[in-house]
Amino acid sequence: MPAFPTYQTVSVADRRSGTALNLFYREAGEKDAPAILLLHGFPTSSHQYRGLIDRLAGKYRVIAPDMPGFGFSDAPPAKTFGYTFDHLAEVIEDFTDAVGLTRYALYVFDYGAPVGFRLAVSRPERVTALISQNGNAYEEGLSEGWDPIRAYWQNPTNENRANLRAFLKAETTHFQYTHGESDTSRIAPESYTLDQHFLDRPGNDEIQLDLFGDYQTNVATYSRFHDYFRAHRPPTLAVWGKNDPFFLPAGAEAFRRDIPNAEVRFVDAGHFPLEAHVDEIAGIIRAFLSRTLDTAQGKALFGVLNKKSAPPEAQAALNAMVGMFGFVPNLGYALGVEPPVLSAYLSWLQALGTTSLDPVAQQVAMTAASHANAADYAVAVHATLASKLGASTEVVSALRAGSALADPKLEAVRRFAAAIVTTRTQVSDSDVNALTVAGLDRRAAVAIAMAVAGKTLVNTVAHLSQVEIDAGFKPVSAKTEAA
Amino acid sequence: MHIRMLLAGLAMSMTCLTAQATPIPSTSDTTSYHWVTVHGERIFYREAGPKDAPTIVLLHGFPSSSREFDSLIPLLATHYHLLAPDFPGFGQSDAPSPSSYTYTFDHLASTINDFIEQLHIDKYTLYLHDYGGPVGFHIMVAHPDRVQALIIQNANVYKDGLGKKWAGIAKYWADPAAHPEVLDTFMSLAAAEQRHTGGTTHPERYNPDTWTDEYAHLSRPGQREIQGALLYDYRTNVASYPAWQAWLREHKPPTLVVWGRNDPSFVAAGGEAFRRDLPDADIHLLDAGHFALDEKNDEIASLILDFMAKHQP
Repeated sequence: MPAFPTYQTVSVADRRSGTALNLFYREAGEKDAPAILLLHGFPTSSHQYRGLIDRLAGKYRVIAPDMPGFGFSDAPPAKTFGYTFDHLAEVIEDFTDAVGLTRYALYVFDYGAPVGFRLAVSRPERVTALISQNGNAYEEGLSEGWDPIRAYWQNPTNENRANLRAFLKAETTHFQYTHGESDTSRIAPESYTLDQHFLDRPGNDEIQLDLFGDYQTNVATYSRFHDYFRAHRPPTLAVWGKNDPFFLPAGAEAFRRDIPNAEVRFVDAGHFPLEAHVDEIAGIIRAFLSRTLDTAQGKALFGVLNKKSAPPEAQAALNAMVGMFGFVPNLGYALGVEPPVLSAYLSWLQALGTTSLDPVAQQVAMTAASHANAADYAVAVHATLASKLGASTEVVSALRAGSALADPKLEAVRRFAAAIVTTRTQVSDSDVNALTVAGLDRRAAVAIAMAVAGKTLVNTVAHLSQVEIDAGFKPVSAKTEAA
Repeated sequence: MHIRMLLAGLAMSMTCLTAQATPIPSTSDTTSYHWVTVHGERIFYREAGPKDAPTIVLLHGFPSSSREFDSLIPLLATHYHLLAPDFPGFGQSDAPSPSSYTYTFDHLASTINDFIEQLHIDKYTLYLHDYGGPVGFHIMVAHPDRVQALIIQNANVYKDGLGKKWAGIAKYWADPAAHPEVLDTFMSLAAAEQRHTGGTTHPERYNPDTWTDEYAHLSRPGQREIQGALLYDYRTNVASYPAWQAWLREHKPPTLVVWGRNDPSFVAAGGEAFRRDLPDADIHLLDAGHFALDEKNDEIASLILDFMAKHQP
């Protein structure tokens, strides 16, 4: 099974001393799939990525090393190794060579950010995309929580260094995991207990105190990171827990200054959102990567799609689409490369229209399925159609955002449609109960299944062909949307 | 002509189905972590799945905790309500000193039974691993009407299942003070790792978080006394085997046995032996070790889902 995670060690020679360093890493996914390098933060290890790895390994080659001084990697004594972020970055760069990572998306968190950004500056051609999850590169992202550490930078006295020992205590580790989380019962305690076990190792305190001190070099290096962002503009996603006590939301938004197209998303979580919000974040990441990384082959497959490229056999169906939408949606040209499929899809739409499911509910089902498939194109189409069918602005906004609906019937439809996708058709008793409690019956269940099935077709074709969302499906001002 | 093409198409799709394993649906959306006080002891537990679904109570082994089920739970939480407590002295539960809490399997069972009752669960399937075996059997014997079905994973109830190391442990039972080395080995990091990786041909598939976490726990103050007491009390479990076997014969709970056959501690014969008293038991000897979930998590989840579907109303 290719997605089975492995736990291995690789040896790299330290550039400064020549000694061999054993680096532990977690890896999963097909070796020839697009790679994602996950760099952990303080005070944790690749352990923080255990849930995310499971959710990405189906499509990507995911690798998460433990940096020297952390987790299961070697932790040479502070006095001999010299723990600086420059040094950590050298070791991790050599690690990427040792495991054959020549091109990779870079996922950075906390300490992983200054290390990862150094890698990007050093070898920009290797980075296919950037994902920052509470991984800071801008001054405005640093909260007041950094004040005791800043004091040590300004005045590296023994007393200021000793004050930083508070950051190494179990209470602080626990705080890092739970602060900003509305439901701490969702945080597995083995996350912070394992971290604390590693922090409590003899000698690890000096390592961590040295790194607190060296963090000032990161702040001094921020402008070099910005130069890299501006010059190379990698596809970038900043997905942050917005209640992080150490890295403020402004730090995420700041990426847009140098990478205007950066996607910035906030999750209602703290510093470690992967504990209680891993499904939400994995969904955001998968959608981002499928839009940015996984597009070359599909696009090449489809080539240019327009009126001129459409086969003559598709003409009748394309004209019918003008009748339905007022124009030929870009997706029509993509489906139309196989004319019988386009014709069948239009007949299918008509058949769905005659089911017992309410017209707005039909659009809700199709939007929900498309949202679960990370299909932005179809989400835009069906939210627009819902609006034209008289759905309120609140409903239309919720449809575009993929959020819950206030109306119980529509919400039950939304849930059921999403469940068909996420459970791969094996919906649970709870999903059926939610439907019947809302007053829907077996006819509705079958109609929703049909709505979802049709989206499997068009979402697949939209993802492959990467057609642009037509202007006619983009959100308009609130006034005209409600009309 | 058309029918031939249709059948050819069907034949092709059938081979495609068997060629690839499809992932089992899973959800960790509902997994939560709690502490509850049971007669003055704080008991930690994991919970997942719809509260109105049939409940499976998972009882862990030595020296682990409910954590050993963390990859299994999301695969079962799509259909079932899961509860996995940490026994007193283990994991995130309180570990009172032996002077204030008597560490016997009987007492662990009574605390865990009280825990289940406190959560108002009066019918459940039991998943038993290692120490969870004797804890579960004490509970079942005391409350036979509550157990709907049994899932046994390397939890021993037959002398046939006792591997070679138990000869050494028998020396400890005879005279604990004279054999501290038995307890030393029992509590060591090497043994903790071996319980997971022993006998595997795929060591790289084993997550070191597991035994590292376990050893960190065993290294806490007071653990030697606690675990020494329980290891000593284990002799009463072996003495109870005939009574537990008789209970199985009499009550015949629907039973699934999923046994890592490479386990050196509870050997494969211990899994097969259930057939003697439960002729209808569904017995699977898997190419896995003592912590069979480490290497066969998805397969065990599938077997459980099929078993539960057959035996649940």
